[in-house]
Amino acid sequence: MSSTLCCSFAKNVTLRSSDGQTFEVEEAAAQVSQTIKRMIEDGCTGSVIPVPNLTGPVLALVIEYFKKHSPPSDGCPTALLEMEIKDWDAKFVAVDNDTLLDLTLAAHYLEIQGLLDLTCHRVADILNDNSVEKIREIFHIKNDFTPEEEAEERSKIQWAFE
Amino acid sequence: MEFPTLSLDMLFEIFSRTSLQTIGRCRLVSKDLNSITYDSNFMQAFHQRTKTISGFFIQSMSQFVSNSLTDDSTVSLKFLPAPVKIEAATKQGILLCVNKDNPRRYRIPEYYVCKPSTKEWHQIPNPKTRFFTQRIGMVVLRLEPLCYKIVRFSSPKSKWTNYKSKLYNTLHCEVYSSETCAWKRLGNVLLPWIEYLRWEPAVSSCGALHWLMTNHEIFTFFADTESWEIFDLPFPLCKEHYFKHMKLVDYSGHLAMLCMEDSSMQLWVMEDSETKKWSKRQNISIKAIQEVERYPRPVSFESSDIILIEGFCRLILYNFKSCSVNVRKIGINFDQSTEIFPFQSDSEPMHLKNYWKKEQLSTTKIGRRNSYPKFFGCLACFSAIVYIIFVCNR
Repeated sequence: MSSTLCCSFAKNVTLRSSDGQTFEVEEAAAQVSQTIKRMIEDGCTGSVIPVPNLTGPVLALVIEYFKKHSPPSDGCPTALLEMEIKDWDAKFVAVDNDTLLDLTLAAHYLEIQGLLDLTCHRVADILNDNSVEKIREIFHIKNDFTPEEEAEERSKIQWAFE
Repeated sequence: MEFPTLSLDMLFEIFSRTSLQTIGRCRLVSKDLNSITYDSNFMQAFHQRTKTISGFFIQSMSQFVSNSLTDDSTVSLKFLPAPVKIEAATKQGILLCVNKDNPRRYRIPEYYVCKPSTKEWHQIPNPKTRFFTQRIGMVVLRLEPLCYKIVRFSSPKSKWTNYKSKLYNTLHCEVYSSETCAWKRLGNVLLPWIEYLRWEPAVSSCGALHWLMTNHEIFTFFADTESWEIFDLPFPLCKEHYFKHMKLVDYSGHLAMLCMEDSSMQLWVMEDSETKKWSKRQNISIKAIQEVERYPRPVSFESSDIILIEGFCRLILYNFKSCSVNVRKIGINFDQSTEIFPFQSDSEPMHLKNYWKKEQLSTTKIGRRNSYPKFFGCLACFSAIVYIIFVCNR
């Protein structure tokens, strides 16, 4: 009995986040991630795949992305579908800065090239409109220049300010 | 909430998708980020992802040589109304050119400021062209909105000045500002007797233009204050024949000097532009270059680890961290007078327009209309005073 159950769910994998939440997702969809793909190939399918770098809410978002970007079952994607996905992508990354950076880190860790491109582009767009102080704030980077060094650096890049 | 700081890899991924201006600004964020953005790997990724072009303009051919191995012909100056000579180039994508053939024929040159990547250009008013141009330089002070200054040094009729019983070389100095759309004459520049600015494009750093002088001092023109100064170099940079070749360059935004010896190259960097403190950063082996070129001469830095070297009919991009050499064959031989301009540009439109022509015309017309009555008024007053004095004396 248990073996038949196992077979009928063979196409699903379970992912567990760092805070212990589990998510079930189609195996084909999860293979958008190169990291998970490798894990599946190594035979992790039977058990739960741990994703220790991601918290539950972030993993939930990533799984949403998986579902939207899973390879279509009926063959080639149409132009209409591509447009729809593009719109969806734009809405998907319209989140607050910290969530966006979490998603970027997740994409990097799970090796999802599409999501990495998407989030990095979004972050880059945000950076283009922001000041140096704001960039430090967004990335939680500490200013390690001494005031003299900062003045020197600032004089080099005066042209980049408005 | 404790937030994990992003790894340098991640910052690389993100910042290589931003813009030229953001890269400029993020150099101020932290030291790590600063050094990443000058690195050749980063620059390559950045140029590919943002479709930014980077390379060198070679004067005698008006040809652009790209740093990447993609097609060089994407950037040309054929969109300008006449064949041109490049006068100055900036790393913000703006060039200053002057038409090449006309001065001899018509005596009147035309100056164009252009952005080759977007094929935008405008003509600017002419400086005092009865004095021959000695050196010209350009600094972009701001990109949004575009604001630049051009400084031109020309030789006056009397080339020598006697000042406090000492003889000096004199240069006329004019500055063009994009904000006023006009040239302004500054006080003459006095150089030490029989010394000149070397025949090389100016090196731009910290909003100033620098030229190496024939006596191995450095002449600096500050674009914001429109002032100049001459300062000494420390030993051994001040010695004329100490090195085989010396080249003033821009290294990660610092003013620096590449000094070629028999089997290595020294990199000297001016660490502080206030105190003019120089330090020797590195000894660079040139074995890999000598295998492909017998007479290499340093030209400039492409990024913090790639040096452009000129040789016989070729340019060499030398990555001294990985010791890799990338040779680009060029159809001409480089001599001392071949100017090579480092150039970098995005493809954002600058909205350069020929706006000055209309403005200039209208102001001169109004100016003339107004100045005639004033002139005659003054003349009448003057003659009346002369007449009164004359009558009183009698």
